Amino acid sequence: MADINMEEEIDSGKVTILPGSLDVQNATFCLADEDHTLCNALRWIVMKNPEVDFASYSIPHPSEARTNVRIQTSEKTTAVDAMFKGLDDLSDLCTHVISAFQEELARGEFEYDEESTF
Amino acid sequence: MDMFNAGGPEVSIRSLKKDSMKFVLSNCDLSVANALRRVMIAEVPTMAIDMVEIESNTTVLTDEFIAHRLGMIPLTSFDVDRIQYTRDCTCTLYCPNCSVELTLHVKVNVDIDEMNDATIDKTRHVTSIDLISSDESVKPVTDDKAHPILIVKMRPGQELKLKCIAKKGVAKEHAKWSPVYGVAFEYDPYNKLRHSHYWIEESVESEWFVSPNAQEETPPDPNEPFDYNAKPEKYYMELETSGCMKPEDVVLRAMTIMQDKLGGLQIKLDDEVTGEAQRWGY
Repeated sequence: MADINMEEEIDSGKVTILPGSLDVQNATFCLADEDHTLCNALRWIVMKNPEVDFASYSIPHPSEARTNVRIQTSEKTTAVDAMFKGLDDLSDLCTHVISAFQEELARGEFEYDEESTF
Repeated sequence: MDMFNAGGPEVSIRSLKKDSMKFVLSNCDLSVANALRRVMIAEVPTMAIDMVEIESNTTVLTDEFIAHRLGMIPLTSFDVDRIQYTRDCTCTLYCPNCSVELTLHVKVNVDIDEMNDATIDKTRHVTSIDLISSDESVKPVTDDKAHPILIVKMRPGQELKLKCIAKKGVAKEHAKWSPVYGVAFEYDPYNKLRHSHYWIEESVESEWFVSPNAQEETPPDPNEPFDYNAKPEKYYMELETSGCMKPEDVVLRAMTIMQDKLGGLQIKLDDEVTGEAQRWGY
């Protein structure tokens, strides 16, 4: 027993698919060390996928650093694929925000003052 | 379902100053804007004093009091990527790869002539500029030379000698590692979406002022029915850094951190899926 607990402590940032699903269209993913920061945005982007019927997340207990993400899809895809697509899409969105921000910085059409603090 | 333009999120910078910036993020969901806000506050790594070895302290403040005050001093973290987290480092406690050493030694000598002259102020202010860093890129933020951060006030005969170990960390662990003093985040200044509920005595209009950001939005038409499908579109963000890094860098780093988290999840999910397949023999 002690060994199992030790392993759980060390395994940070892990993704597990919780048992209990009967088919590949439905799955609950348990994301260790993630919170509202990532999961709310992930839930939104997964839900934007037209093949996804249901996507939601919950933090079962505030003192445990883990989040459950539930995905249910249509017959055309699987929950795991929808999750991969969500992660990909959100990463692309971040890339887009970074480039939009850098372009805007380069354009320099804003009030700029290097000396004053506020 | 999708109410946003196909182009993706848009950024419009309003002002950029040494320690603060204002920008508008639009055409994206509230969850994404909030993720950016949360990462900027709690997950952008910076340097902060984490261990203090006190050799001599005859000041009026206790050792732990001074150690706590030292921890709160913002350190320049432009070059934080070069430094490793101590937990990832091969060393046992700390080393130059995962820490920066700062020393402080102030001793106020007793001058008999001065002591008898009541007109001379004998109080020595020990401030962040007395901290001597071993690394040029990690030192206390001292933009304002006239008002450095006060650590302790000393009188003649007192001494403070200590060594500080600054480490890399994130504000999720302790707020001293936060690169920002504040992130202002606003959407829907007219409260058309009714996400806010104002406490009022008679009317919202006379008792609550409308924020300056409202200039960019159309005022609500009182005869218009409530649009329950409406979603927030423009997010007015303003951030103020501690001076440890540039405000634009905080935003860019925050977005990169989001991407790193997503990339990590992809790898971990891939491990889980292939592991699962092997276990069940798919």
